[in-house]
Amino acid sequence: MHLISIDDLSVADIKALFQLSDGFLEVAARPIKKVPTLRGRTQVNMFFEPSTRTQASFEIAGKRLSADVINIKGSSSAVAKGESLKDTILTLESYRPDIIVIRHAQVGASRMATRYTKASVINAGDGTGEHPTQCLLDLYSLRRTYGALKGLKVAIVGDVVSSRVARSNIFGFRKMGIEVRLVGPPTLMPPGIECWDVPVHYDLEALRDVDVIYLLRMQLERVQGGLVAVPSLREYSRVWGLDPYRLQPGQRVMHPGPINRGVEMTGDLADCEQSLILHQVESGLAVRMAILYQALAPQLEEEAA
Amino acid sequence: MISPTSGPALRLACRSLPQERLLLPSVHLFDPAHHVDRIADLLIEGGTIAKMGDGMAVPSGVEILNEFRGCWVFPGFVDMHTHLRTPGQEYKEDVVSASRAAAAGGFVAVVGMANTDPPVDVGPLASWVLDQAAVGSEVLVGQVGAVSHGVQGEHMAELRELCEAGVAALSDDGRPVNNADLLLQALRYLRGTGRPVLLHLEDRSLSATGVMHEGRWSARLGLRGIPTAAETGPLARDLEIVAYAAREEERQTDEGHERSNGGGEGSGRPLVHFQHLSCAESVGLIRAAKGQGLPISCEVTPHHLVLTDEAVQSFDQNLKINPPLRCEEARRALVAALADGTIDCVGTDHAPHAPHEKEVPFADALFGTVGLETAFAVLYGTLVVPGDLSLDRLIDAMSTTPSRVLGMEAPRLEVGAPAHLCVVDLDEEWTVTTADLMGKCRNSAFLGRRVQGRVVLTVVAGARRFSRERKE
Repeated sequence: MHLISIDDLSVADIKALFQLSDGFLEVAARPIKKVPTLRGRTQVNMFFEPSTRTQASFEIAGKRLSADVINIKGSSSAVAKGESLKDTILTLESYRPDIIVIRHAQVGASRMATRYTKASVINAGDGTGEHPTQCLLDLYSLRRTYGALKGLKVAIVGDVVSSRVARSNIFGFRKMGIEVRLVGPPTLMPPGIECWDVPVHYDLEALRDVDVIYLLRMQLERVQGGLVAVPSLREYSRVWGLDPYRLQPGQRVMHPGPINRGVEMTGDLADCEQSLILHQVESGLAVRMAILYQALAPQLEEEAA
Repeated sequence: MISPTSGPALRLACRSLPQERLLLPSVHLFDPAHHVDRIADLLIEGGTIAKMGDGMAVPSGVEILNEFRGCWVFPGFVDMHTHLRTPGQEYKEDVVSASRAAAAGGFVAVVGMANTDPPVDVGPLASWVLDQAAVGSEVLVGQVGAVSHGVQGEHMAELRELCEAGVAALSDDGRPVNNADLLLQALRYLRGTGRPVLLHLEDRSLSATGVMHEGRWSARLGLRGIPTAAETGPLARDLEIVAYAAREEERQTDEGHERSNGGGEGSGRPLVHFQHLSCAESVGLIRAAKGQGLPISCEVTPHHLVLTDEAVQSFDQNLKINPPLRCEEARRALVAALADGTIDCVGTDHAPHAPHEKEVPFADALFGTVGLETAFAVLYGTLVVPGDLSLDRLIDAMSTTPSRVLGMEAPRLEVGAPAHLCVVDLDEEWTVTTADLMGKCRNSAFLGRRVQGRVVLTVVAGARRFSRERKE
């Protein structure tokens, strides 16, 4: 079973993942944080783009499930010698992996990988496409914090156009009954956004009545790379950066990381009591264990029967 | 779908003077946009037009301005295209000197362009200019912010901060926005601010080292020409970009929806305003685009309406202007387009230059002519008197329409309205001399020209800012 897009999952699938995650969260609290669930299974993490939390999270998740985990990095693999994505997948396929986790700079890379492997492919972020596991861990973090998801009001703020997190979260959140609105400069909203039928606001005024403020990472390379979507980081942070004065009591702040302190939020805000940022990371481990389990669940169940 | 945002307020500043109590007896009140056309007395009090009526009883303490009997009173003129030259080029002009020139021409408001030194491309600089105006300007001053950082046409300036400083519009005037992506992104980025982008059209690869209109006279004189395509090429392209941005705004925002349906707050406010059109072909493109309902407006200068390239044979450096004075057919097309409303308004492009920048061989001189002091008289004498343009349309194009384009309250002759007006002796014929130029520079393309209609009084915020003795 692949996980490429958040659209691949039904509400029931997501709720089932939450239940599994509850169990795995409990595993993390034990002194010996390991279960034999995926013993003898091979999990390949292919990270063609730099990553700290996602890669570590998938690696630890696999290890705690007793899978054999190997990591392949774009910079230190045959990819650096010019090997194509297709050839890399075909090569690895010869080792008969059970799960391939892919992070790639190009949209659609993980979908493409499914054509060349029998393993379950998990999209760990494909360019500006999707990041479904981030969406699931965010939902789980919200569920742990608020109990129920339905009726929550979440504002997703910032660089929507270049965010794979936004492209998974907008649709995943709404699937679970969360009321989503987008906030940011018009130039950082994808052209054609009107087709998403999601409210868009151009000023932080729109944050006033939401429960959760979900800040996206400002993709600095867009500003520094000579593109003209935003005049400067100074103006961006002045107009769309979150500071303690714009945060209402009781509101929670989320961020997929890595944070640009002083850009999308003032430096200290990430560390305040209203921040769920580390809670998200913690939730991520349990959710990814659940995702890895779920990916192999059909065959595990078949073997058990 | 997308929430309407009320943009930051436009800031206009002038020095405050004690409000006067003035009576203009028996003057011709003329404000076509507000259906005022009658002879009556006009009382100014408390900064506003207090009364308009016949045989008014004179309250005590009111100064009666008998010398202006029989003159015409217009809503004060608004120039959306002035080079204040500050900061940095105060040897050419500054806010105070430009405001004197403006008041002498019947203008109650001017808007300064951003191509100064340094350019007005950050909010604090715009605020500084407006603060200068609040201290010393005789007329209301608005400021334009640059579209691009350093008016270099590459990276977007900090437009939000400029808008928060109260800029009237965004423009790299003096230079084109040749980067199509920059233009499209700026139009998107400004959504919700209500501020238009003013575009100077010029394909620099075509204008190159040209110094006058490319045509019969450039061929004859041996001066390097600037082809009309240098203007019409970018215009055609920019119209496509505006159409694209407007359609997107219409789909995405209520404001855009209202704009396209001709109602609501967004209506009448263009996304883009084209500056100083000079070509007949441009008029055709604008007419077609407006026919499709594009949210655009445009202006023409007094000099492009009355002068042609033929005059350049004098090698008068004050006729070296960008865009250049075009041929007679172009001039006639511009006049007709102003008359029928295809061209929305008049902008002076008042561009002062010091003698050492003009008193050099024609090709070496800087581009530009001053225009505030003479705009009305030149256009009235040359176009209205012979019947090529109605006085209604001229007043509308010099006052009401530029106000609408900028989203500012238009001066109007109405009881209770702020007293921003000018008084004109329509019968006086006069010859433009350097003595009539009140700014710091004398580079007028109209020196020696016979004109008609003399501004004799300008009132801003209920106080006299300029007055001239009326010739008997």
